Amino acid sequence: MTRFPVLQKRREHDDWETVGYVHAPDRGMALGFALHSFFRHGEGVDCAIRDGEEVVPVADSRDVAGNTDKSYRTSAGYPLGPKRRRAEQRIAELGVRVAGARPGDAVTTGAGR
Amino acid sequence: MTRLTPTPAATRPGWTAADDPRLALVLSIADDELMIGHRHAHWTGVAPTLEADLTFSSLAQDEIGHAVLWYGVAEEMTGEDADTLAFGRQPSQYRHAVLVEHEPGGWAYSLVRQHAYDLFDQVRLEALGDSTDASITGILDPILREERIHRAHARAWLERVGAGPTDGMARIQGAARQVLADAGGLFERLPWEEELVKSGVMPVGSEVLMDRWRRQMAEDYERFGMPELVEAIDPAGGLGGRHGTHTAAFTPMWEEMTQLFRDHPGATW
Repeated sequence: MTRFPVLQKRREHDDWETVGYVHAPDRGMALGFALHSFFRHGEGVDCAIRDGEEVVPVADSRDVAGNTDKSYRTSAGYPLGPKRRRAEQRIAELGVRVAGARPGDAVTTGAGR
Repeated sequence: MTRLTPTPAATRPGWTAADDPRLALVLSIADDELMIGHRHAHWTGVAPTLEADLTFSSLAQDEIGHAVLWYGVAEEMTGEDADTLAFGRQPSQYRHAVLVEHEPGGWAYSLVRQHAYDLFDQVRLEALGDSTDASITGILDPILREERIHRAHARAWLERVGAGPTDGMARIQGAARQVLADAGGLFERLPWEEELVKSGVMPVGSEVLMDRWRRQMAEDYERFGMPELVEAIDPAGGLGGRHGTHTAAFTPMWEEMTQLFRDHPGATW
């Protein structure tokens, strides 16, 4: 397995910056792994790997990340959005705040906090 | 989680998707996506490498995300919320192909199934691009973009395994025989399919989809070094799912998937 640096541009005119690594048997697999591991949520405008001295762009990155609406993969997306807004409204009505709760965590709530 | 009606039509005993042809089509797609996403999620934390783990998990999230979109379309048709449609039905009311309900098996089986299913889904979605139903065509673009990279993922793996040691190739070939024996179920005629085609909601019928899929499968299997295995496609294999008849693998899967929903009916989260 070869270790390939994964590069990303956050904005159009930025320089490439290293955001992580993938281990893959060859360049082709590394490109796919980089796409899925680092670029599925529109983290930037472009993604690439470094193979030796060469910067190799991920061909599909602009197609699947920056230009694709992924709202349905998050709680802000349809049809989960209305549910989230109802929960936020209810929380506001109760005057409580959920402090960083995660499944299994103790939930701290209280009026006015 | 809020139920819009206490006894939604789609979860009522005796209800069948054939009561509404458009709904039968949309639920068959939504159920396919939910089930394959659930099965892909098996690999989270246990795949051969971390990168493969992340990738299969990403595919699983994509498929469940697509299911959310399709259940959203069904929600508009029925007035029932997407969660109820996804988790509130009895096993015999699900319309997915039985291929996607089988246990993940080994890595080879999951890869071969992922390839066959995603290619099928791509063919189905491309055909639906000509649908007369705007609620269907309106959600296709982001799904199709992702299905293309799903296919690239499966191809990348299968090409390399095909060119690798014979043991890996033997595993892939064994898995392909299993998967293709059930592939006919993907193309099982839907309830009221004739009307769906006549109205243009389904621009082409299941037989045409299968021909298109088979041609692309033949191209891919040539690339993988196992062209002869296309003959293992059984058009009469794996039938029943589109009409609510499922295999023994689905019962424990359904029980696990729907347990929270059933244990706390009407709960608000």
